[in-house]
Amino acid sequence: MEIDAPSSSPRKAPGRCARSGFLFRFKFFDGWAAIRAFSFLCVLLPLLMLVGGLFSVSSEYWEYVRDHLLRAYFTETLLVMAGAGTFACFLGVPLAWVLSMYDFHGKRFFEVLLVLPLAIPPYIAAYTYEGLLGYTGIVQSFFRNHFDLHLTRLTTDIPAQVWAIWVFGVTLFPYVYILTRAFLRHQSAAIFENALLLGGGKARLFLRVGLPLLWPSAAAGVILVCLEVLNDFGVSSYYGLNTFTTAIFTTWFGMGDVNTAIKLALILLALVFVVLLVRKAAHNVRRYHIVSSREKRLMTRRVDAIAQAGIILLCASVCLVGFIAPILQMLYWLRLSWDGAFTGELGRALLYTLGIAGGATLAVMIAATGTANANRLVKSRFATLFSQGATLGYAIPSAVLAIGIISFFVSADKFLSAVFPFSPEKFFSMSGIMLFFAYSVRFFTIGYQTVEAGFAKIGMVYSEASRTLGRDVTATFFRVDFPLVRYALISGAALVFIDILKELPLGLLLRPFNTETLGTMTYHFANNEALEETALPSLCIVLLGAAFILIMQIWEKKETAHVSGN
Amino acid sequence: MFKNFLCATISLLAFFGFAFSVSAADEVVNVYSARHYESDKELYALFQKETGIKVNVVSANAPELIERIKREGVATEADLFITVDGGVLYSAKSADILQPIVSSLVLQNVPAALRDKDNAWVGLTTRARIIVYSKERVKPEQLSTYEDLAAPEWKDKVVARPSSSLYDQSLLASLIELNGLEKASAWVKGVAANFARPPKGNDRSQAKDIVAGVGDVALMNTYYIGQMLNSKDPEEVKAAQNIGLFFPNQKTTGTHINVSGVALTRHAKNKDNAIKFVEFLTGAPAQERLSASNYEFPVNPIAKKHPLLESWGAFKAQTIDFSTLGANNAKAIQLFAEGGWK
Repeated sequence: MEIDAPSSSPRKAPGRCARSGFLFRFKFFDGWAAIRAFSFLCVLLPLLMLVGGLFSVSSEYWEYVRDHLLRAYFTETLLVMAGAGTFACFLGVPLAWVLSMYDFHGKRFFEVLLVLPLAIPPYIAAYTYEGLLGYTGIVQSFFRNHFDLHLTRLTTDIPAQVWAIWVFGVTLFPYVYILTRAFLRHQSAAIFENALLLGGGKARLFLRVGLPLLWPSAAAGVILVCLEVLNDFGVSSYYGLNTFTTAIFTTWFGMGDVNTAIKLALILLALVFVVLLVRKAAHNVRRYHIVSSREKRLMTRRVDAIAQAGIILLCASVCLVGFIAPILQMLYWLRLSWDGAFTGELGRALLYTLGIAGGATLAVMIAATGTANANRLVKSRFATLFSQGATLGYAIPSAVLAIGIISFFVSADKFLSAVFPFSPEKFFSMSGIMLFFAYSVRFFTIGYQTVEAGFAKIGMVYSEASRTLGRDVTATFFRVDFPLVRYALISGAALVFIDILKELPLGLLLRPFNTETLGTMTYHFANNEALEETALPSLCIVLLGAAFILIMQIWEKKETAHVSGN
Repeated sequence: MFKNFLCATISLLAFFGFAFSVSAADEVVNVYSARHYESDKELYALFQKETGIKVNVVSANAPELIERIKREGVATEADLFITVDGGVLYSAKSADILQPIVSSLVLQNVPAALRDKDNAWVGLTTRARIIVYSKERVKPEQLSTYEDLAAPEWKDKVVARPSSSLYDQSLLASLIELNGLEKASAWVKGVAANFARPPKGNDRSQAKDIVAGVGDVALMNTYYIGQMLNSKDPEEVKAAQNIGLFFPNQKTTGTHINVSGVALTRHAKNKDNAIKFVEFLTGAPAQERLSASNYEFPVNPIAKKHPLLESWGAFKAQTIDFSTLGANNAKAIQLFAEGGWK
């Protein structure tokens, strides 16, 4: 059920406040706006620390990069992004369609399984695909050793870009699938039934009715895929691609040219903004398809045996390439590296990852809820700027963000020891606070967007009723709004948690002494070209992620029931 | 109401803050390391056992660690910086974040050629970048030098990794130093014209592609061969047994070797402990462990090599100053980009 926000202006402050003098107005400025301002500052400060670099260092290589390399960066980045987006679309949309329209054996099972590839970080998928299909991989060795069949060309003739597109596609298509499926679930049956009555076949129903309706949701999913690809470092560096992120690493850290690196980062940022604009456009289009709650929902239909077999085959093969095959490969590696795989180090990495990801998720959700609530209470251009600005944390490549954060905390430490002489030395930069802060800044947007969407769903009617009945803003939030959005908050938290689990460069650069996250452990083994050793930490990441995705799905179902019930 | 909410938030954040702060031990040495080998971890533990000094480690990629030390300035936590590649050590030195290691024991352990001329860093191990070839299709007599890989007879027979690899960048940097910019540029173009497929993969994948018949020759670091021969994956062992090793340029400039080294940071807080640790790392027992578990060549001449390395025999190595690898790095990146070596 879609509930529109009432037309009364939310800009109006409660009567008590408007009447009172300066002190009271100051009080209204209190909590929510303060959380918003604090969140915004946290995101902005580390980025400001970088801007200094733009002016201080001479740009030795910029002209060279611009003349020789920029075109390659553009084409490779756009190629991989477009390829991955298209591939994800080709996987996600048909799957969402058949699962929404038809009933078949094992449907519930596939419904769950098809979301799980999201738990596999693309860089780990890249390692496992090398392990599966490479020369010494299980597929090639099997055919070579048992049938004397040499499938070398299988892997060597496929360019690295195609591998990258494949890896991104099979791990990220669930974004498209989830959003399209959610859209179809809320569609009226009338449109489709009428189309069928008018004599359209199944294929025509999909092409002529389904696609025009669902494309904005599919596009929203594709855009998430694009954003992930733009920010990726692990996969591009593994396949040696010349994308903007790898270029930023090369110019900054390889050539020592901060200025050029920041220029490249700005171009990347511009690309991200273009993608975000497209998302906004797609979002606006979707508004034309609001469906009344009185309509009958789409009913799934049972299909004949052959069609069923076809559907099951489709679902099964996507599950196989996206989730089961990589897991099997990891299990095979685990068998090879079994001796000495279970070390205290792994246990510590697991605990550390859980702790820091949990803590950062909590911080993100508190900041995001505060900001979103402040924004819906007082809508202003300033508020929009706040939330748009916070998106920067997600848009900037992690390694660049990390350097900004280090600069920020080094200054913070200096300040701390100057003001409090007895404070522990290097309180910030010696502790996990830096990494904790970085995760929070980076994934703030993810949390914010889910909370904002949750608030949009419940609208303002209940809160305004509560305020009219005399509760203040904060009490209204805890008594009225929070119970209504809590499911959105939980699924948002799960999303942030999974993203932190999958994150790599921040962990590499910012974790304190003697600590590893599961991601950094995996990376070190892969970096030493000892892929079989990556099995255990990878499996931990994937299984944890999968568990949280399942939790998220269960809560989302509850939320649907919950909001519809109201 | 809001106050309660705020208090709860702050106390939660504080809890996580303290939960993740590190408790400082009495005697420590803080290391930023870009070497992520298991052998290193064993040595850290051994040093602590022998001396009671705890080794704290952050490991990440070298260039980012250098940037971190730079940004931290006087406040840096790092006492030692450990990395692979002479070029990287050079850039650490030119970033002005190092100070000389003053210890007669270290100077005695490490020959002058394998440390910086001001002792801003000292070598820990070396590795050679050699030519590996298909035992089936190539006779070792056909091979001679790196330069020869650009000859037309190797058309469609060379497999290589992308030029983003530091190992190839350093090799090219050494060729720029030895042969001049023009010849080095021609070499890149020549080798790129001989590629059997576009550059991709890591060192091990080059060896596998040779065994698979995609190409006949490739460049590879020596320790990867050791690691493959001792891999837990039986298919990888099989692949490694089917490639031949050739140490090129024996009659000319010598085989390209690179160094992994340790450096003392300018603002090290635990300098004495750090120097003790460097003395330990360059001592024969630690050197032998490094060679035994990671198949690298020890820098300390009295340390015994792993039998596998011993079996390869002695070879003539390049004698250029390692700092040139760093000085020529940017030029090497440019030549690769211009020459079509992706």
